[in-house]
Amino acid sequence: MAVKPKTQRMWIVIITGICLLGIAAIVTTIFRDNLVFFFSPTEIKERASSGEFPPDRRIRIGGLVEEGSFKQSDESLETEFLLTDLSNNISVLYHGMLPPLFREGQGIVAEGYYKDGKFEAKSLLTKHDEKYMPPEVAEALKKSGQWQGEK
Amino acid sequence: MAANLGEIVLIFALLSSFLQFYAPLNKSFSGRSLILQKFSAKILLISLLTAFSCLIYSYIISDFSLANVYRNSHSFKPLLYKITGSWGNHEGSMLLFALIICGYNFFYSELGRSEEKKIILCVQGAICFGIVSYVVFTSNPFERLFPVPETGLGLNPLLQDIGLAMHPPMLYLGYGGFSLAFSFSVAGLWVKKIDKNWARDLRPWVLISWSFLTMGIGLGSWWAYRELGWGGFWFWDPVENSSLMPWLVATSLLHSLVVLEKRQEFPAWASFLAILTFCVGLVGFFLVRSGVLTSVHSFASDPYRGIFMLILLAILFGFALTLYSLRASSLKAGGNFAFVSREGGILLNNVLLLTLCGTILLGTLYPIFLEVLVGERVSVGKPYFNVIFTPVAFLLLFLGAIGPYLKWKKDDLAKLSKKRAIPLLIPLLFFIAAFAGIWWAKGGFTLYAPALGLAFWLLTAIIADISDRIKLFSTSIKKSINKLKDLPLSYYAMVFAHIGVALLAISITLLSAFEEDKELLMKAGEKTELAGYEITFLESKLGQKEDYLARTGKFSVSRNGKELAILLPESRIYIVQGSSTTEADIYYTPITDIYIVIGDKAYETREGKEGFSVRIYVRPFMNLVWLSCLIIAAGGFIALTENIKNRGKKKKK
Repeated sequence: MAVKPKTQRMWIVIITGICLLGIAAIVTTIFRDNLVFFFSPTEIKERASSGEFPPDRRIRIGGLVEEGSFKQSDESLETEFLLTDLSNNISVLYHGMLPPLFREGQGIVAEGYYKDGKFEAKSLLTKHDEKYMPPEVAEALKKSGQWQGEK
Repeated sequence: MAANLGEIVLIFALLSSFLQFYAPLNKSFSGRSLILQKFSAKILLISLLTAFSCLIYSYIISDFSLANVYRNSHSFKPLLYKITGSWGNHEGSMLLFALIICGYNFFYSELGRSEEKKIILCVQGAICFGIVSYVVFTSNPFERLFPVPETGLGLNPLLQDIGLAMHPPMLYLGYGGFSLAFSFSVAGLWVKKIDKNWARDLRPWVLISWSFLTMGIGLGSWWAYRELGWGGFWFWDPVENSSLMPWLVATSLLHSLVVLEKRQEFPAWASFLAILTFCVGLVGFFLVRSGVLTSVHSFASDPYRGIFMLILLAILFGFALTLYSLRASSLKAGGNFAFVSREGGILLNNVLLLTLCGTILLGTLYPIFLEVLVGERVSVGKPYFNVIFTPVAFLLLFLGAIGPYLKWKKDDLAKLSKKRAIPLLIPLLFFIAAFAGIWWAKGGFTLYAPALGLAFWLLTAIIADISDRIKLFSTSIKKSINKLKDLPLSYYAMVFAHIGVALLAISITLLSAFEEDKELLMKAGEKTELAGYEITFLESKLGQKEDYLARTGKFSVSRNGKELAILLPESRIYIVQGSSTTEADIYYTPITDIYIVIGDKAYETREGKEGFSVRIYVRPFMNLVWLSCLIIAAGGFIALTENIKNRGKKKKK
């Protein structure tokens, strides 16, 4: 029995359609949940009261590690420091190995969750270059009006 | 001196690539245009080889009058990294890319076959012209500095690694060859002839590039695993994604070329994939090299480079797609086929691979678009990619065990399943065992068991088919072995590539199921335990080595009281660059890797306090991941040898 080209094409279209629809459904639901938005300490301060940062929503924050704010436990890898955009700051808790060139005064990006007025960082990102300023951080600093970038 | 020569030959390259493009367009050359094109291809390759040698030479003698050498090298650097450093930066790597594309161009002009060779070489000439002018006008590696600095800034220490030294050439050997797929497609569409011969002539070039790309991706993740100190090998980083996307498209192109060659089916589809492969490769290149993405890969960011690349991409892709939309309907397709047939299987494979590519593209580009359009900064989390990848990969594994064993044109699933009923029980039993085992180990349902089951399903289907073909057990062993030798190489190629995929799925699943991490503060003399291994921090030392200061931790790894290894992870400060890295040390066993990273006290303002932050990873089945990449690539090379062999036979006749 020869297969009619029409039936064959119909099958292909149906299967392809189902695949694409399935994928589209997965993509739309999952995509939104997995977008990680970036905020500056000032934005966090302004919007935190409106409940914009639920504790289960992963976000990124960026700024400079405030001079003199770094504290570290003697017995474990618990650390706490203030992240600042020179107008506002937020307290960051982190457990783990600090990335290379993590220093006070250095620009970093932290990814994690905002809980009870503090930021629980799951990961810290710095660049492996001391001259480097992460672009998000540079922008956050410019927005806060305290820093105009290098000439 | 060398730099002057390099600059001059680049101009030669520009001219000869233009000649190669222009020769067939000018009527007065007719009859001689192919000879002229071959000649220009030769000059093009020689000029770029010369230019690249000049650059390497300038690196070796540390000629800091070149801006490129000044920014990326240093006289203290080991010789090996002086040489490899010449392509560890934007300008040098672009020159290497141009060299490789022109290399493919030359080899095609000498060895390649096609009725449309002139047109193909003409398109190739245009591509080479575009890339070489990109080098000359936006990324000249021979730019001068005045006054001449006394010393260089040094190479990003992360790039001082043999894995990364080999990674770009491999990757470019992949991307570069896809330019031929593009040219073939344009030429075929131009003369409205995309058929069996077209597929036969194009396939070896796609095969060789695909195999190199496979190895390039593997090398890249091998480097990331050893060098970044995060214990992982794939991070869904946009840069990694942009090498995976062309691989996915090229894989579907390879499959559809087989159909075109054997069955005259899918001409329009195959020509579209050929265009897409090269363009997705260029998009990846654009993303990585334009500085749109920030990562260790985007060496420099200069908006003109991005714009130039975008224009080049728009011209090539725009032209090819317009041509495609005009000509695709006039391409003749072969006979019909039922949905349940080898053709149907390959079509489904293509749809799935392209779906993967599309979702990865969305995840990679969305943050960029959102930032440009709305000005909001986002990143797409890893879970997105994993959630999309897993079901599609499951489907691919499932269908991969059926599709290749269907007959062309039309087959009956019931017949096939009857023939394979007993072999199918094995993966089923395995699945149940794995399910029970992992349920018990993890205390609940996970996707690991179905993943393992499907991978074994693919593996058994391959083994069942081989034993069918060689009539294992139904005839004498000797005859079976003889039959095994007589199986066509193309069959072996398929078997290798698919076994590689199955092994990759198995190793990644086992790795994610049984990997263990620990991060803790350790003082000298302290002990800790992970996955049955006992790790003791013996001491730490500070010392100066080649071009860096190193804090070295000494750790002993033992199991059941028996010492297995001493590991010496380092945390390094590169004096010249003022940057720092962690250098993991790994104890490799055939199955498990034990991986230790040490942080540096100096960054942690821990004055007068003892202890270092230490990360320990236990990574089972890591070696199997690398091995499977090699097996997949081997499949490509085997198919290539068959192609060359067949060609030799035909010549004799």
